[in-house]
Amino acid sequence: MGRNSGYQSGDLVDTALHVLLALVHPRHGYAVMHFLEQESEGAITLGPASLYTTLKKLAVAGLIKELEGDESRRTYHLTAKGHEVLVRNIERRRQLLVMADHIMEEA
Amino acid sequence: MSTTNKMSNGLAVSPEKDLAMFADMAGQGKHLNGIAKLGHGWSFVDGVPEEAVFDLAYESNASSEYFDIFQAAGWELVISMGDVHIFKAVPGTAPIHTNAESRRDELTRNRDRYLRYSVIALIAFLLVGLGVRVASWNEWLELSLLMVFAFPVVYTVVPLVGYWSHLNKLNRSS
Repeated sequence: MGRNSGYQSGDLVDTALHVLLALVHPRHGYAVMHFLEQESEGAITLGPASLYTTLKKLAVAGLIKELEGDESRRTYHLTAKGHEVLVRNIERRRQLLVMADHIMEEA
Repeated sequence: MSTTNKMSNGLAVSPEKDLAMFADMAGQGKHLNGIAKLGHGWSFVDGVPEEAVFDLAYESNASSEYFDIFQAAGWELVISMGDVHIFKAVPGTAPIHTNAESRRDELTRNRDRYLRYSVIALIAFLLVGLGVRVASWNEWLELSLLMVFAFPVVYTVVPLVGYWSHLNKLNRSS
């Protein structure tokens, strides 16, 4: 399996999950960076090359779609499939946190 | 306005050395403005000294959106050469690549492209070498043919080794 197979299988890396979260509401590509930085209070920083690559891969996997609009200021939004994958990934991480809490309490 | 030319270390082989050189030159008031020395160097134009960091990205279908995203992140385009784009930013700006994935994608694309070029160049060189062995042409013509067909081999294999080596380093570290 290739390193990019997570986009097809829906088992997303953190960067892709962050971008999907930002696109719960329609946003321009560049606005995704600022939104994530603000919402995370600086904990999440996304470089432009990393953001651009992630947007392209999410679009190819059908997890986000481009809305009609200006070519230079493309707006992206989550698709129904993207929403489903996002919820599943959040749930998977939630289960991981519950497990981590449990292990740490016992330690 | 005077210009200065400096040799490149090879973007495919030692990109970090060229990027450090751009920053050093900018600090001396010499700003990168193009390629020189038949593609083996860089030209710099005199201006006001500035503190800047440089980085590069590879994208063959760079749209206006691509450059908008870089600009919004604080990275100003300095020059584009084909699918290579060199940017500068004020020190402290978040890097262009914040995860290994985008860098790995770029290196993989470049490695695969130069692998194709290298194979074609090597096959052409070997065919010419075979022709030279079989036929009995003028000695100078044979030597000239071999030299002409050796150039593409050098100019495709060296970048291939550079991209492959960087990709291996990245895969080992992540």
